[in-house]
Amino acid sequence: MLGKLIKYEWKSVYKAGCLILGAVALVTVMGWLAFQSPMWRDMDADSFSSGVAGWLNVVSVLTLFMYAILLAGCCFGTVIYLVVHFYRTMYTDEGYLTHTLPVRKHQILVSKILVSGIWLLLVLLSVYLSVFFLCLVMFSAIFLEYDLASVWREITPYMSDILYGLRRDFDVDLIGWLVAGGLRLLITPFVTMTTLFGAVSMGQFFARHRVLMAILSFVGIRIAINTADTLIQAAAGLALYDNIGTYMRSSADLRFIVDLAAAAGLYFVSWYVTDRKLNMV
Amino acid sequence: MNELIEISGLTKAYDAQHVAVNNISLTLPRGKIIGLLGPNGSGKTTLIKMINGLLAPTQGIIRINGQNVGAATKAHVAYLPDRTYLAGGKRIREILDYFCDFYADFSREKALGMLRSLQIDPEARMNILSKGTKEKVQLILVMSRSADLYVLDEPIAGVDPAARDYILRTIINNYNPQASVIISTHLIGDIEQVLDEVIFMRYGYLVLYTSVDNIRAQHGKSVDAYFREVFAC
Repeated sequence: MLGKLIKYEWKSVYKAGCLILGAVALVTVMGWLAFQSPMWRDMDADSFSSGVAGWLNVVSVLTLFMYAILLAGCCFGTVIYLVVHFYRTMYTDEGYLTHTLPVRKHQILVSKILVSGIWLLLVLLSVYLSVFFLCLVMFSAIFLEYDLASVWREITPYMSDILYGLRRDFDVDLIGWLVAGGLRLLITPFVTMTTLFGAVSMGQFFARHRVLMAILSFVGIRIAINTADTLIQAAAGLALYDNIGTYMRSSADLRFIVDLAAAAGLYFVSWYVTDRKLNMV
Repeated sequence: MNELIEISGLTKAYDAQHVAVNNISLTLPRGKIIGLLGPNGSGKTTLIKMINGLLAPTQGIIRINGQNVGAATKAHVAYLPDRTYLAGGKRIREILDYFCDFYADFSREKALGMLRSLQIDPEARMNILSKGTKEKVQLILVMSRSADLYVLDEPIAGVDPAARDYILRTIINNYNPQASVIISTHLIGDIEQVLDEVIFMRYGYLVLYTSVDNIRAQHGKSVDAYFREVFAC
């Protein structure tokens, strides 16, 4: 039954997900257009365009602002859409169908977390890809005389020295960081959606104003997570580390563990509400 | 085992002042069409929601086929709520696929046959259908299952008299004779001829559970007339 739930959950959100991915692609094209202004080439020459080309520079900067805002909007839009979809299919009239299916509540929750997490991950990856692509475009626009391949070839012989230096001076294991960061990137969307779904479910504990209470629950959860994170870091004496690399690694690890623990607790809350305290009014 | 539903000490309190269902105990047999009757706010829909696992009881137990309400009982209970619960953007055909996938006792052929007889296009999206047609589609979905228990909450409230006749015929002709049907309604006169037994509820309490024949024999009245007498304002 879990497979069927995942199939129908995917079917019900994929159109909106594809639309958001399309929006990210469009916004990326917009960002690329912003770097076609002469201002970026003039930057390298230490002189700025003026007169006729001046307005193009203004448009270019404004377009880049818009790019950043729209990209953030795509991320937030995805999260909001997925949360509203969860609320609608679980706790409004559509929930009458969801909760009368011959399936266990764990299966319903897992299917929703999996599909929502995958879509949030896809959107986040597309956003990172967009930013990476624009960084390359910006580099090419500013440093016209260099091509990226030649820059990479120049850096490569010194890579081992750079990595060694980072480890020796700052205790930064760049490859370890990248692997841990990649893993966190993969897991965080699922943790985020589980936390948000838990907050929506917490709203169901209240007889009235359940949406408002869900929003307030989320605010409360974030405050609790941040407080717990700060207290645990203080208790672990992280601020006393004299090495920035050690501090950052340990801090990120601890934060991730606190987020994971909170998501696990909130998954239980969602299960408890749907299995033991369901009140479809 | 002839008992289909066993309800014991069932109570649902929304808060201290609002007790929707109050300490009901009841055993319902198989093979009967049972009217769940009572004025507004008597607790009918609350009882139905608890039977379907949509509300958690404050106290008490419901057993269907000897099992507590859960995934196993939902496989054998076909429920028609008093509202539209299907997503507006979905086509009827997609909803049939959904029911086929989740309910082993769902018959697509039966559903398509009923849709054809009502001239409802399976390719139509739910959000373009009238309220009455949506209710018919939902009833078709429910009656296309070969369930042990059909729970119909106000199945004829929003449709015209001709459609009411069709719906009642659908209920009588399509339910499994080993199954039971619980129908909650205010329109007693319209469904009286199909009922075997009735449950009267008031203020969350069980007032009466008896057969229709018994009411007619003991009181010399129709169920509708007796209901009006019992619940006279």
